[in-house]
Amino acid sequence: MSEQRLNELRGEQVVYAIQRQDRTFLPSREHCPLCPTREGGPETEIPFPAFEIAVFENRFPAFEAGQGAAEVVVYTDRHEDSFGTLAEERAEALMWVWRERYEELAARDEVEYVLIFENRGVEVGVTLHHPHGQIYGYPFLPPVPRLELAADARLGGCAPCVLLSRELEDGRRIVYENESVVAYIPYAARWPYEVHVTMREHRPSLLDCEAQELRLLAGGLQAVARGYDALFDRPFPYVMVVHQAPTTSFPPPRSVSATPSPVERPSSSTMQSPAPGADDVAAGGHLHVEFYPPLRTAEKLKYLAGSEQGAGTFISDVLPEESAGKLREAILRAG
Amino acid sequence: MASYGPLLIERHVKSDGRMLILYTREGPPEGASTPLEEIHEGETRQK
Repeated sequence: MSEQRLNELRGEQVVYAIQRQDRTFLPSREHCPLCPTREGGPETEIPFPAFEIAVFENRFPAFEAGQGAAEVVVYTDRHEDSFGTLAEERAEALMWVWRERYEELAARDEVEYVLIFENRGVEVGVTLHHPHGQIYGYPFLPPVPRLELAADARLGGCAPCVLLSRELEDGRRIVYENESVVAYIPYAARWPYEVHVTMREHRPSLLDCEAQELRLLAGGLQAVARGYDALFDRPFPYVMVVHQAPTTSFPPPRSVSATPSPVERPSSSTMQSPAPGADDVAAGGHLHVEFYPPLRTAEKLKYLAGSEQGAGTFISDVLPEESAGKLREAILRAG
Repeated sequence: MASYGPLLIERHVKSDGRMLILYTREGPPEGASTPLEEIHEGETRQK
């Protein structure tokens, strides 16, 4: 059973999930719990001989059912794949899976924030190599989305809209763009190769996206992931996090249909109009995906040490404009 | 089986009571950018 305690000095919740101490840790290929169940082999988490995408409740949850949610999203039944190497259609399907899980979890009374993420590489604490991500449903609004809402208030509108507009105007840190998304290393990136993939239009969550936007979002995310691997010619560790509107005061879930409805509430275009005003961001959030890679060179990690942990101030060895140039070339190379 | 956008959804309950959902994509096989009929007229290709 998880326990939640308020750290008064930081003003933030800490979750104690002591059952996770015994979770499966770097099993051999033959004992991967995320592979399909082969004939004559041990039963895995997915008791079927093949599958496309699977989602299940985590056996070692940070939040138990009724107190939040902790789910595992398995991208493929192929152990050696990665998010970047998935077929385009599979990556697009994954966006729909994320959307469906966000919608279902958002409707739960106890869930105030849905976090979809992937940890890749032992450098960021991965315990299973099979390509997968996770989804947490928090019973409270965590500090990062709270800060994002504060940024909206500080900038007088949707902060990601304002920041995207600035990045497009500057242009030096953009590493990839298509009709629906722009990928860039932020002006004040905390990690040397941190990338934000932001929807061009003001979309609070995956639920607000057109089908075409979901396809292009998948394309943008895969381009970044493949570019990362090409950058130092090695599997590139990262944490990938989907930032969306909190679900605290979420409207009733929309009906699930074969042809999902696109945006129902008014949307604002970053490109053609000023950032949405306070009314528009009352629901909060602007869908974007942030990558936090710990590498600063092919062999060296950026550690969170004295200044980062003790003062909350990142000290970086690389200017974003410089790393953006290298990553942009790598993305082009990776194709 | 339910559908959601381009996905077919199959819900299961694992032996220990946990939820398991399998998602299958509708449409042409992965990697086929155009309908197979257009690629191979009068020809059948198994992927």
